[in-house]
Amino acid sequence: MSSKLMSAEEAIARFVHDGDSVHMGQITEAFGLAREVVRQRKRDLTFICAGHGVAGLFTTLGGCSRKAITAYMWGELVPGPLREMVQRGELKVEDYTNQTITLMLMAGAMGMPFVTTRSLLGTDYIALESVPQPGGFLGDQKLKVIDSPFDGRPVVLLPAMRPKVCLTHVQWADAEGNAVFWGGLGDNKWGSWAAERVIVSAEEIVPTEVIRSHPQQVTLPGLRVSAVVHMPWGAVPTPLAGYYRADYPLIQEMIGSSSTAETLEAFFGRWVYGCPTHEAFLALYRQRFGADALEILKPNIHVEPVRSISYGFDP
Amino acid sequence: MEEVVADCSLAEMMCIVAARYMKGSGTTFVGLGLPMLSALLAKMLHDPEIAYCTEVGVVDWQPEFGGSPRAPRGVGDPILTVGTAYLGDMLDTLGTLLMGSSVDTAVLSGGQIDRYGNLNTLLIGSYSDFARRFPGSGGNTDLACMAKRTIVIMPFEPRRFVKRVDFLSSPGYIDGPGARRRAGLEPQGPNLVITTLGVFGFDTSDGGETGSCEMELRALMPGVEAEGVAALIPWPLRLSPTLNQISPPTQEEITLLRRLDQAKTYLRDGRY
Repeated sequence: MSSKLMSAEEAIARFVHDGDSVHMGQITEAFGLAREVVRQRKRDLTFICAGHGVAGLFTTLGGCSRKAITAYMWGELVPGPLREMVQRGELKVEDYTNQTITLMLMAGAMGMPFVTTRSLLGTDYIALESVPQPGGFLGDQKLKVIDSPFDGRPVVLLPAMRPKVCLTHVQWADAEGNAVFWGGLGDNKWGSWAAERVIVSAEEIVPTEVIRSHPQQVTLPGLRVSAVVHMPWGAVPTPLAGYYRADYPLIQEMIGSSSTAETLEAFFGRWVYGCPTHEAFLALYRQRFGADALEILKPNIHVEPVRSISYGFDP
Repeated sequence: MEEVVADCSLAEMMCIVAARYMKGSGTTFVGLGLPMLSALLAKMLHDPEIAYCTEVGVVDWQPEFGGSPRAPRGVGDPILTVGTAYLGDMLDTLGTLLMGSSVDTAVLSGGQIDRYGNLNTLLIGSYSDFARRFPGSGGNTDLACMAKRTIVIMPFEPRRFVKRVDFLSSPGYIDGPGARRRAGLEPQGPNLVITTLGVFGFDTSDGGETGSCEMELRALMPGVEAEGVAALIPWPLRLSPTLNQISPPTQEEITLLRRLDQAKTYLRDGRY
C-alpha cells in the first residue's frame, strides 16, 4: 500500500467537510487534529463520542459544532458556556449511554440497520421518546421499543450510526495507516471501524515491519485509513497510555477564557490562529507552562510485557 | 476492635462503609467518582477476589501489580492499564460482559435518587427546559438496567434525595413491585444505597417482585439517629426491623483509604 503520510493541515482540509458528523474517541483524544479543525474554521459539524471531552469542548467553543451525540459531557464541570449554548438552543445534544452509542457505531460498522439492547428500558429516555421536545433529541422517535419476535420480551431498537469521519490518536502507526493503540479502547475501536473516513495521528511513525510482526496488537488496519499524520504529543492535554498523563492548565485556561466572547476569542487567537503548526503549538505550550511542561507528563513507572509472543509457520 | 479514629470525615466514613458492604461483589463494575476509591479499598482490605472493572475496557485490574497502588483518577486513568487481566473496549465490558449477564455488581453514583432507587444523572428541571445539566449517564444507565446487583454511593444531601427524580435515567424499581419486569428488565433493582448518614436497602424480599420496593433505612453511621435521617427525607421513610448502628472506622481502614487517595482526588476537604 502507498504512503498516506501528510500534514495535519492537508488531512483536515481533504477529509473533514462542513456539515460532517465527526467521531472523536474518549479518554485519549486527537486534540492536535481537533485544533486543526478549529484553525480551518470548519462549521456545522456534529460530534459523536461516548464522552464529549476536551476536544469536543474545544471544537464546540471554537465555533465548529452545533450538535453533540454523547453519553457524557465534560466530566464534573459541564462548563457554563457549554450549558448556556445548550439552553439557548445553539448546541443540540442527543443523549445516549456509553453502551448504546458504542452499539450504534458497531451497527454502523457492520451495515446493520439497527441493533438491540435492554439498556434504557424503564427510563425517561424511552418515556419521553414520543413527546416532542423543542431543542432536544428526545421526541424524535429514534428509539423504538418492540416485543422481541423470538422471546416476546420488550427490547430497544437503536439506529445504526455511520460517522462521516473519525479523528483518532494512537501510539504507533506505519505510513499505510496500520495503527496500534493500547489502553482502554472505550468507543475508539468502533468509532474508527464505523466512520467512512479515518484520520490517524500517531505519536510515532514506525516501520511497517514492526507493525506486521505483531498483527494482533493492530487496532485498525490501514485499509480503513485515509490519512496518517505524525504528531508527537498529539493527544495533549488528554492522556496516552505509556507516553503521558492528562494535563489540566490548558483546559483550565480554556474554561477560564470562556466567560466572555472577547476572552474566548483571545484564547483561540493565541492557541489556534496564532499557531499555524503543531510544532508552534508545542513551543507555545512550553513557553506558557514551562520548558519541561510536557516532559513531566511522562510516566515514571513503566511495565513492559514480561515475555513476547511468537508467530510461526511451515515453509 | 482496633483503635477508633476520631477525626474521620463523613465522606471517608461513607467510603469505608461502602467497602465493607462490597465483600463478595465478584465481577464488579466501578463507576466514576467515589466508587473508584471505595471499590479499591474493598478489594485490598476485604475481598481480593473482587474483579475490578471499568467500562472503557478494563477487566479485572490487579492494583498491586505496578507496585504503587492508588485509586484511579478516572475510568481511563493509565494506572488501570498496568496489571489488568484483559484490556478491551466498551463493547467487551458494557456489551459482552454486561449484556451477557457476567456483571455481578455495579457500584454507581448519581445526581438524584428517589424512594424507588431510581437515579438521575442527566438534568434538573424538564428535558426541554432544564435548570441544570449533570454530565450524563456514561455507563450508569446500562449498568443499572443489567447488572445483577447494584450498590449506590451518594453523599446525603437533601436536594439529592427526592420523591421522584426529575429525569429517570437509571432505573431502580421504577414505580414499585414488578415494574422492572413489566418494562422488560430483570426484576432485581438496586440493593444498597450507602450515604454519609447511613445505609439504605429496599423493602422487597424477593428482589423486586413483591414488597413496596421502597428505600428503607438499614444502618446508621456512628452518632446519627433515625429520626434525624427521616426528617430529611421527603417521603415517609421506612425503617428496617433490623436497623442497627454501624461500627466506627478502624485505624487500618482509615490509613489505607487515605493512602489510596493521597492526592485527595476524591476526598477533598469540605467537599461533602
